[in-house]
Amino acid sequence: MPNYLAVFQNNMLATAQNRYVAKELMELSDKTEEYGIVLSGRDCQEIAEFRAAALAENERIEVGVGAVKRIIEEFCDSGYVNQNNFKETVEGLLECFYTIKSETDDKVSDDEAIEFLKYLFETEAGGDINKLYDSEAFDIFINGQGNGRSVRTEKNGKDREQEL
Amino acid sequence: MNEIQQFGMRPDEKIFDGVRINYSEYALSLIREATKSGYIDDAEEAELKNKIFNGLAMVIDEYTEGKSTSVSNEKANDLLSSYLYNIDAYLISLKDPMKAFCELRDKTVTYLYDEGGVALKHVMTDCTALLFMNKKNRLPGGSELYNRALDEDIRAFTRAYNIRFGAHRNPVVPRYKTALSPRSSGVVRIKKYLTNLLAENLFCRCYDSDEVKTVIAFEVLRAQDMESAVGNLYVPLLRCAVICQFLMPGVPHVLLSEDDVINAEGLLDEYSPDEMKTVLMAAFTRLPEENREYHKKVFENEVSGIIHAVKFKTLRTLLAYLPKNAGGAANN
Repeated sequence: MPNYLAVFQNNMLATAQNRYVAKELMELSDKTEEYGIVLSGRDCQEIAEFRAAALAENERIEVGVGAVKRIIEEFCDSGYVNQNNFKETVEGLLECFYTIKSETDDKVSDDEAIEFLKYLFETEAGGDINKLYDSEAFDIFINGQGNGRSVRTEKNGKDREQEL
Repeated sequence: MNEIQQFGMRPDEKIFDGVRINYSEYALSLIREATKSGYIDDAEEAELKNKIFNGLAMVIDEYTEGKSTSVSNEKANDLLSSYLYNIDAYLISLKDPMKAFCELRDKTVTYLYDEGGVALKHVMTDCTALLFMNKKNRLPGGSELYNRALDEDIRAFTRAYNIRFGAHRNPVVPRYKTALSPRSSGVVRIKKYLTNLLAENLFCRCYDSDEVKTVIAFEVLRAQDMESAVGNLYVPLLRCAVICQFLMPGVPHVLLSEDDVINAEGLLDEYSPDEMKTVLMAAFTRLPEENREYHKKVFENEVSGIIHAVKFKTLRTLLAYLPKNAGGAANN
């Protein structure tokens, strides 16, 4: 099968795509401002670029604005986010989100993944993305739904490498 | 055939300074050639590609039933292939590259994708008609693979084929091979396969059914002796028909005797390879005219093998014949 993705994935189209996503995110400003969070043009552009990188890292394709919009809408009302940490939180959540999608071979829908992340973020993780990503609940969720690959094992491997 | 039924064939239209379009990547090829010829600029090319790529969002949404906005690269490429296959089906059915390019530029991707689906359904209908024609003209006896292709494989293909998300795929490949293999994919490949098979079946139907049956039975027995699978049944028949025309011009037979084969080998051996090719092609022209182009392509592939066999006195390995004293074309 020819690699048609390569035909469409060049710098010009990637830039256009990021610009489109950033523009769409800017339209969420009204909603985020209700919770004291102002999304600047630069923030939106950086989130769009981070999203593209997270997709590439997880070997995924998303056309249009996709899940990032839902994540912003869903998390802007959290008591754990503010103007200072919102962009980084969204980026961390994007990473978690695409990890869930890839590791479960898409057995988890976008809604289920976002609902789960919101729950974990508000409870066990207490608004800490690193805690969320390293939590047992996160691994259990993935392993329970997914293809049996153990996220915990991979993480332990990384931890061991760091210790050494 | 209506214009949609022509899909999959390569019309001779030229576009933008007579550049030939790649029909296996029709939409992309149109865009490429339009840019090359200066009909559109780089920005317009990027805009068109962006429009097509953005249509993938609709396909992903439909495929995941709205549950996911992203898919793996592998799945995305698979869906993109199917989506482009559909769009190509519609654009090719227009039979005019310029018109096709304008449609690609002006119509929504949803429209192009949906119309492609309609065009492919017509191709599916053609396949049903071709299958019926093939069954009506099936070879007497056939072989296991041949009969399975007609009775099981095509039906299995149409059942498993998914126009929307797997239009480019071949979920089932017929086990019996035609002399010329279709090079396309998806349902267009099956249509070409059935078209080739019909040409082969109709050729065989031009000859006495008992003779055809004997030639086939010989091929089946030979395969059993060699403990190999029975291959294409029409090719040995075509070879025999040409040799019969060489020996007895104008007499429509396919069944040779062992003596016929020995005689043919001796007579042909008198010629140089080039002369032998000319003589064999002259004999070929005396065969039935229906689907002549197809048979010519097949026979051209066979000629060098026949010349080689004559030179090495192994012609009998390429032909079906009755053993000595059992009769043959010369005895008829």
